[in-house]
Amino acid sequence: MRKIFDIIANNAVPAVFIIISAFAIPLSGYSASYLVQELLTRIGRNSFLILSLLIPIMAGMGLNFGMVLGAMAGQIGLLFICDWGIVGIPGMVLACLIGTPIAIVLGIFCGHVLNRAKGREMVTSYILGFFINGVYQMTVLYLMGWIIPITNPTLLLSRGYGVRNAVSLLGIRGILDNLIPTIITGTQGTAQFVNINGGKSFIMMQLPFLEGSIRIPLATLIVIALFCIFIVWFRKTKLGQDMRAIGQSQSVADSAGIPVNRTRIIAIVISTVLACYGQIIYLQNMGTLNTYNSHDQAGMFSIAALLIGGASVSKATIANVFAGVILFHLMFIVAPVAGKNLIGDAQIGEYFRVFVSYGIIAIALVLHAWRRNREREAARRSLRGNKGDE
Amino acid sequence: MIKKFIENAGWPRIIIALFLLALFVAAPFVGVRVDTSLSNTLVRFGMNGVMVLAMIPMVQAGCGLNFGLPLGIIAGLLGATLSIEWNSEILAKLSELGTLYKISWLNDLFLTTWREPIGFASAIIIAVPIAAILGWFYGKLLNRVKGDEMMIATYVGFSSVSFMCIAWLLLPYKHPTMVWGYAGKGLRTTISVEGYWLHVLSDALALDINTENIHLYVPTGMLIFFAFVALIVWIFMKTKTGTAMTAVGSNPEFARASGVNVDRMRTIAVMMSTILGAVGIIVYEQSFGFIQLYMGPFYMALPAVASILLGGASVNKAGILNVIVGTFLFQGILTMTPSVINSYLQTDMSEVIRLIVSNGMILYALTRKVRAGR
Amino acid sequence: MTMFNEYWEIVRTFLDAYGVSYELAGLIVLVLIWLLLFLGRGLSFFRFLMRWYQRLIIVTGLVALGFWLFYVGREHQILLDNKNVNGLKALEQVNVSINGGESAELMPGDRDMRKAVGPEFEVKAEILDDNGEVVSTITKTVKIGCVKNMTISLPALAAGSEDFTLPLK
Repeated sequence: MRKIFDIIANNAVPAVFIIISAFAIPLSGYSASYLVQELLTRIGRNSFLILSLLIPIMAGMGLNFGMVLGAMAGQIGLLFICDWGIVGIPGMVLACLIGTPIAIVLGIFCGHVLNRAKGREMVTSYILGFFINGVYQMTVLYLMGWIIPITNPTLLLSRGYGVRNAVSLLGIRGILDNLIPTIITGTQGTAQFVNINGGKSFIMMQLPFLEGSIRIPLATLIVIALFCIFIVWFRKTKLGQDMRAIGQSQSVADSAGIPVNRTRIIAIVISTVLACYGQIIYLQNMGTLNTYNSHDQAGMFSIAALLIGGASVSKATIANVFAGVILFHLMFIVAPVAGKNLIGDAQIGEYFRVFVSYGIIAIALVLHAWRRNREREAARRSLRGNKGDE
Repeated sequence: MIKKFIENAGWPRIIIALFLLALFVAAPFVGVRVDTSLSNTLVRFGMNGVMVLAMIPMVQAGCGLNFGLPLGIIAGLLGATLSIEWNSEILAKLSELGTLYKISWLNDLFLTTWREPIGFASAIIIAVPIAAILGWFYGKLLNRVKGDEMMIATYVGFSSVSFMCIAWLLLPYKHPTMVWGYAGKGLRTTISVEGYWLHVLSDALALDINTENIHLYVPTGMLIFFAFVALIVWIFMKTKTGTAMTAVGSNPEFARASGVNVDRMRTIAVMMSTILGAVGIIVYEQSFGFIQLYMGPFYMALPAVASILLGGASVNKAGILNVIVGTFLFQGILTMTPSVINSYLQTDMSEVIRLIVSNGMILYALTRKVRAGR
Repeated sequence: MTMFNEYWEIVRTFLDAYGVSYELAGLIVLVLIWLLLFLGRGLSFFRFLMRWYQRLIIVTGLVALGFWLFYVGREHQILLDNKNVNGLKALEQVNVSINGGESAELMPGDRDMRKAVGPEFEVKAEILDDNGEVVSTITKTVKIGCVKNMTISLPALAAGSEDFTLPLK
């Protein structure tokens, strides 16, 4: 009985979301192929960012709200390639190359700060995100074009320095998504290679019970799959084992001779660098960079999605990531339309999904703290009981 | 001596205080008037003071910094909007009272001079019970999540703000100055309090010197109100409940052993904090002139948290003096940086400086070694 | 950029005054940084050296990769110009495409812009007569390197000159 209750309690969040979606999808009136298309796009767009959260959770550092640091590093890389006019895959790789050292430095800084605030990593990394956001804005708004050379006038504000709020990433837009163009169409048939307009070869697949055609961001999905394999492999390495040990108990790990602080810093650095790449992948899909708020949203939405996928502050798997992306974004797509059809106001659906994202984070945090406190209480009680026996 | 002072105050505070001093010194040289800057600082001090006071009870009771201040702010917003919605009814009821007891001069007063103060008072009277109820639930929640209060408070604040975004659209407000004109329902994003209780406190007993050489404006009423609330908090912290609260914060095990109900104390502290937040936002609005709904209260906790930390508070210890010093320093920097730096560099860096100073301050407080006690 | 120049100016005056070459100064700074990093590490000097050697190789490799990506991925604006130049008359009509992209139709006096990615591109010009018949087709591979913009004079290209980028030498 207890076990059944635990299973329900552990999967309550995804279950609630499945129920909400089950009601909202028919209300929205979207076709299946539209939903599948949107979901595939969003899986390609967001998974990498969310996956970057896994490693700090493994090391027992909770949700890394400091991932926005990595996102900012990625955006700085993108700003530079925009300025230099580097396009296509070379542009993306160069942006990663520029972003990496910045992300590493920020990650080391973040790791040191978090080591000074053990036990409240989450709130500290959250505030750290704001703090670095200030530094980032200072850099982008005042130093770029003044001390840091930016030559392209379309990037700069009319006053001559500082980057515009919206930067078009036309040069790398959809470049990874469309690297291996893949389309699935309705009606029955088999997979085949075909040449469509302009001599570009597409992988075409035909499936039954689908109407219309769906584009698959195959290359992005391959990158994400490789990253998942990396995480699975990483868990088995010495470093990964150390991190898991630290996640279980810092004092035990310390007495086993694991350099706790150093390993924690490495976990954060990896997470930050991956978030940097994740943000670049995200923005190549979006096609425009909102210089001053793209990174803020990245952090919030990634964390909410991961939690909706059934992860907790102390445990998250790759399956949680994908379940989370699908459920969260399914709601993202249908909520405004469902709200409009239900109450006649799209704004309510919009606010509803913001509320759900924040509410879900709050609930997940509460459940985690609650459970931990209960366990601690139980442990203390059993300790007292033992003492009484003696 | 000096070394000890620096140790006590902490480097960031001294740097920021010196920075502010430098700004005041530099102001005349770049053509910024010190007197108007000082007036602005005082006005902003009065506006934000009560919200910063809201930090004290929770910090003292060991619940950490109240990042969930938006919850209290929401209660205040409800009070403010309802006081406008029901303004005419309240006044009518009161004048009925005057007629009933045959006191016609009282009746006149209600409809003329006292109209605005009554509106303001009604806002507070409506807001306080709402804040108390919300605070009670919020306190119960925080009691279950000891050790993680700050992160959860942040998200309780955020989710309550986004929940209220839906509520502001759906609640049956009718007053024409508050709802969207074309739809006839749903509150506007900003609502003017002009004609209701604009500057009720600020202009009461205000000192307004406006000669050729000097422009000085001191919002005496608002400052007195702040002093009054601060006094209440101070007295409360000296009562038996207040000292018990402090004991809970500094050593919960010891407090429990000496028969203090820890959870109850914490709940009271959270309720107080929420109530002060509600009162604080109403004071803020009467001076600012507008009620900001929807995403307005979203980030309002951060400046308040930063202020009290700037004043020398830590994550588990705070006093009235911290509030006064901190709010003055923080608001001083907010008023001085735009004017001084803008006239020097010709750019508006205030937003960025605010971000860096406030979050840097919070970060500094969070990363300091806390004495073993939890 | 002005700020950098000022700092550089100050450093340069010092170096010139003492007669130190810039390369030497750079080397000294690098060695100093390097020694500073070595101090306080409990490593043998040889191992320290090897570690930095490895890092140097990796960093050099990455920087080289960066430069290569810059070279390969740079997008250029190619201006196509059909005006009288150096005694060559503008062409009646010419259809130009770059790297097989959308072709531009240029009448005398016209100027259009196309984009090209990478260090070299192929320009294909179809020269037409009054009746709209294709007279000749010129295909040419142009090396551009890392230059951001280039202007091609189509009359010069049609005349078979090797010097067809404006301004003509």
